[in-house]
Amino acid sequence: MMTRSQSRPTGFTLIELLVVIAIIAILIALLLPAVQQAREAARRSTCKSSLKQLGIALHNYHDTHSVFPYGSFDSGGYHRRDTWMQQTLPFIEQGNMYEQYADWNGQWVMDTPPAIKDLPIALLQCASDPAGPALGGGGGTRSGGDGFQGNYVTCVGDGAHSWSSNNSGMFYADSDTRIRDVVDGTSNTLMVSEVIIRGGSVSGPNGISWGAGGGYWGGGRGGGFGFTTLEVPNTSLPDEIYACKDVNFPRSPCSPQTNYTAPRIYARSYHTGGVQAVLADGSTKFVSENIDLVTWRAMGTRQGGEVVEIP
Amino acid sequence: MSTHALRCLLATASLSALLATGCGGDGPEVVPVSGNVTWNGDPMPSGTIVFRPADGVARSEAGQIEEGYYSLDVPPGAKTVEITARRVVEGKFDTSNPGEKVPLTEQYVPKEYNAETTLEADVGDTTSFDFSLEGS
Repeated sequence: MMTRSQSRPTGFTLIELLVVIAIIAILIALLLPAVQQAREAARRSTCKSSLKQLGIALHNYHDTHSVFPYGSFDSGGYHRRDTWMQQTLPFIEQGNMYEQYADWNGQWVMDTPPAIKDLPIALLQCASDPAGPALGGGGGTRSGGDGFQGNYVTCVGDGAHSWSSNNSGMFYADSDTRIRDVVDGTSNTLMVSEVIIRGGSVSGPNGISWGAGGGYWGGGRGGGFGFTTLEVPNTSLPDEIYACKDVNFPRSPCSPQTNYTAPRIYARSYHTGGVQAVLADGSTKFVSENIDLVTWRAMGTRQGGEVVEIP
Repeated sequence: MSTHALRCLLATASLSALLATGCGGDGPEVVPVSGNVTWNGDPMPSGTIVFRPADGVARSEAGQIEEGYYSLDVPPGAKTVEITARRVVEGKFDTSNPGEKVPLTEQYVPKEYNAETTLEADVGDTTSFDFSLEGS
């Protein structure tokens, strides 16, 4: 008679089955967060590609005009509060929009016809920010439109933006920076980075906004064209601008000042752990929010003379 | 139990041990800090409180003051504290934007509490700090 112990049983024991199930469960637990992160990674790389193109556009502007566009401009009777964004339009495949804008003879940029100013520009939006395509930042509804608000802003330096004096960055009021002015080295100086739009609509719980980051159509006076490296990326310190959509917006607090004296807009993003930026040499970089503040400030200046080791 | 199953179990256990350890937390260690802020004896209605490292240039952390209470996460260490708040100036308006007249606001907390602050906090074992501010 054959005993059971002599033959190898066919099929799986309960333990083996349980082990297999446990391994599968562990693999799922490993992969699911990875899939979620892959989505954010994809959005981040789209943003990075937009930033790269923006960097190239600014360099093409420099090739054409021998100078980078001004950060913002506010005087006279034609297009006051114009920013680098409108000036760069022909170089980001928006030549027709630029022609229409240039043909319009208004005094204030925020009164540009809505057919022009409300047009969303995909290249200036970061997919990680759920607000896009957003409107606002330039004083709410004026002349029938609200104005497109984007995510990308240029570096004004390592202090609050000032209209009356020279700022330490590459883009500020009436700036005319050339490559040769970037004495710190083009690979050590920031050109463009990101901000968080506080919601896609024109107004938030605290009303309409003037001078919010990315408010290209009218927010220029309030520093909305730029950011400062005074505090680290994604700082918990509030932006200080003329008027805020939302003072308690998640990841992007804001403090309304009702003046244009010293606006401060910090680099912020929805990417995990930092922001992306374009350096003056056109290269893009992910900057950690835990970067040394001394290094971050040094990156903001064009001729600060600091020795920086960019991580 | 066969040695095969045992080996499988062992592999599972070590894998889950690896998972449990994970990649560790990122960013510096922080301590939750909270407290009360009074303005001339009454709770400060709203404002911003900033904890800056007392020595050298480094990351600062800010929180909102709401009805005299604030709470935020701060890396441990010696800090200087800055408090700012704004209020409407009665009867004055700002007209920087064409066609718009908005009530002017001012930052009313004296500079010894912000720009030239004398407020200090040693964040670590102590996590509750109350500030009594005086001014006009």
